[in-house]
Amino acid sequence: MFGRLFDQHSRALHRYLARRVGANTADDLVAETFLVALQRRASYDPDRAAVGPWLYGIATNLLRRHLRQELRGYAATSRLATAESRTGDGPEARVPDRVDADHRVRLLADALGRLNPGDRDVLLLTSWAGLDSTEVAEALGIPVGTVRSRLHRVRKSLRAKASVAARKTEDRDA
Amino acid sequence: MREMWTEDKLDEALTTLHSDVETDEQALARARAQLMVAANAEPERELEVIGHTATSRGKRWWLASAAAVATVVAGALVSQTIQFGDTPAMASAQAAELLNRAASQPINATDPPVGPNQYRYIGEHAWWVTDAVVTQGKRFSYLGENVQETWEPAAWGQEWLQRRTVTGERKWITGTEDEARKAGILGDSGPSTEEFRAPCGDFFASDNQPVRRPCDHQVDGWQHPTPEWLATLPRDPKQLYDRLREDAPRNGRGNAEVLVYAADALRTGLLPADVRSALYRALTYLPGLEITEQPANLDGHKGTAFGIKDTADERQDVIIDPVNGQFIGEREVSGNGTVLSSTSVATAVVGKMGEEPAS
Repeated sequence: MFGRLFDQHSRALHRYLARRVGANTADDLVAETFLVALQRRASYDPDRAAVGPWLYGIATNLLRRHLRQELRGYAATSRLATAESRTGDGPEARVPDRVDADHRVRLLADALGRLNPGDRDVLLLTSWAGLDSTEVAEALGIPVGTVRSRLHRVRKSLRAKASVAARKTEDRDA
Repeated sequence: MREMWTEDKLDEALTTLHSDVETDEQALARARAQLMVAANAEPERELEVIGHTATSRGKRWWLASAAAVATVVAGALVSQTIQFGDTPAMASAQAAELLNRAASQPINATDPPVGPNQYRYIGEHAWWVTDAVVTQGKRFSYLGENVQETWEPAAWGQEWLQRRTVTGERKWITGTEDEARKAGILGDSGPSTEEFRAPCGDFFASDNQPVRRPCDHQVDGWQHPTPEWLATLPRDPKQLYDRLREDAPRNGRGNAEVLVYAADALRTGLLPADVRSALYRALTYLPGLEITEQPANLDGHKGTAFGIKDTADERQDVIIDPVNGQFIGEREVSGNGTVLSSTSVATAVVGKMGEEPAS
């Protein structure tokens, strides 16, 4: 049963964790998540959470030990030079839209590093892990209303903060 | 001028940020193997699996207990010094000479053709460490045997087959089979085999989030060489080296990680002759690479081990037969000479999917 559970969820979980703390740490965290799940299987209540959110909840707790590493990752990305974008080496890489998009990604990385951890979990479980509000609530053990209001608040603050940061960066560079 | 991002712009940036992460199938397979060991343990026994798992990049607690560790490496260790702060600019002269010799062998000039109804068989024979299983105050670690066989059709987009077998064979590093059985950590973990089928060798497409179809936006890179990705690799050795160096993560393992990426690609068995040849030559530019064992024996195949130590004193080796140019396999070796993982690779052309080559 755990083999099937692993096959169904490990890759998506790995991708989510790798985007937060890098692939190498994600290797360890995926293994650890399933071992913890195995140890806690007796206390798992399928009526309270689907198995996917349950696993993401375990992983979220384990992630906390790697907070500093996660923040370093956002900081490093926010400092990347636009020209270093490896995904677009062709001529289209240098068109202004592309440069703008790269710039926004760096501003977002910077802003993510400044969020409070609970807000970051809600945002990224939604956006990166693809969980809906109910599932995020199950994963984090908080009411679904709280998830929705947090998500609304954090998205709004990111849209505003990132554009403020953009102006600051421009001032500094000018 | 207070201007907010639109919701779309925020979502676009969220989708892009850190989207280029890759999943190492071998690391996942190891995690799975370790989970299976733990799952087979008797539930009423107190079983604790220490957090650090058997990934290729982690430190392992038991390395400290050198006395308890059996030395698996045999043969003459030619050199295992590592120079910090004084790393040579390239691979050692002897290593470069043998790599160049291997690169120029006929086996790395052309590949045997695969006819329309034939398959290329890639057999990987691996020993992966499962460590740090602690129960009743006793520690156990062992190398478990894994076999992964892949049948690649003549055309990339046709159906592939992959068969993964955990044989249940073990080589004990800490503890013995008897002790482990008595402690109840093995259960009845006999051999287990699983098969996966998909076009493009894209076996796990549906596991992605969001789900994608096989061949569609296939993940590629040194761990997953697709024809399109291979076409982007320079064949000039120095340029290929620069590309390898750029793609390998800077994760504290230094130049050893560059060799890990080369080994990952070679291990897939999917590199065509011209890329293999260029990659061997590219490795001559890798600072600190030297001959670490000669002859080195992997699964009964003899070759030369080329290796580099990382900052935690773990060494990555690739093993190549310099006489016929064959890539034999790769391994990780701890500071005290214990093999932590090894994979040997064999390829052949066969007439049917699922058919193993006559040995």
